[in-house]
Amino acid sequence: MKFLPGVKPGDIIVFVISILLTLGSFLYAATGGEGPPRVEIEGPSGRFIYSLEKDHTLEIPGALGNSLVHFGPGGAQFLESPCTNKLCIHQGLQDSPGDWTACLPNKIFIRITGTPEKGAPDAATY
Amino acid sequence: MRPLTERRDFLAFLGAMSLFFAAIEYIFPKPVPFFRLGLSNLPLLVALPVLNFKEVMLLVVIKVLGQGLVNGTLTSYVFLFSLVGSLTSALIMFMVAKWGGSWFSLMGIGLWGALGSNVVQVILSVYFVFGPTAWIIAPLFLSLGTGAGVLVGWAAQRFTEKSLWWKRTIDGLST
Repeated sequence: MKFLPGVKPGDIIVFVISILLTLGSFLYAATGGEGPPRVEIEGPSGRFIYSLEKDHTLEIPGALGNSLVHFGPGGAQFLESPCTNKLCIHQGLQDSPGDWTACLPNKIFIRITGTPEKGAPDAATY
Repeated sequence: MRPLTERRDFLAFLGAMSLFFAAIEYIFPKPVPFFRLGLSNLPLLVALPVLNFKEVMLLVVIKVLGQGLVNGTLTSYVFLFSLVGSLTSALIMFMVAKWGGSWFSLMGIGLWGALGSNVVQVILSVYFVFGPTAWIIAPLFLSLGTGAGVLVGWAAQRFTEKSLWWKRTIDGLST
């Protein structure tokens, strides 16, 4: 291809497939989750849904041990986890609907759902 | 640098390069937990046209074991996650290179590999590791994976086009 040196026709096809799959997944992920912001925590012991109106710190049982999770009006985050690399803790606070974080070794997944409150400041405000 | 002529030496060299790239990748901050750029796939990708199936699988096992050792995840779910993703990716790339080589450059082959690995890892997350909540990781995984796949494939393509040492090694490799 003259306009893209080294690129073959099949490259364009697989690129288009990747983009379509990505767009499809964005549409799928954007559905549901209406109502006030809340946190969904999924682990080996089940799936828990909590309101983000009040601050809570909970121990969630995982595959390796307990992970300490904090959530409240500011968002949700891992405080402690028995994994080796602590990536889940380094991910920090998840504060908007659609945000998520996970501890793969401990099999715990955290997701913020719901719709943002009207009039709530966003990143563009600052 | 002297070209490698023995296949065993060549495989050992590729394995060592995979571990080197795994260590380099460890330096980069992860935008998403357990997402990988796929830099350690570079040696496999450039050598794909000259490797047979057994050699490809052996290289993948060396790479995944090495990554587990470098990242300290050898005894966790991350290792299983990485192993299944890497094997799927290598299998897809091998088949595309073998039967669709004239249609795809290394960029396209790398993108197929990234796509396969990421789709399988999302499915593993949902059905075996976390649960249905984990579908939310798909958009980020697939979009970052597409970008990373193009980048790694482009780097592999440029290297095989420009490196005289690589050309001499491939030409002189024993069968």
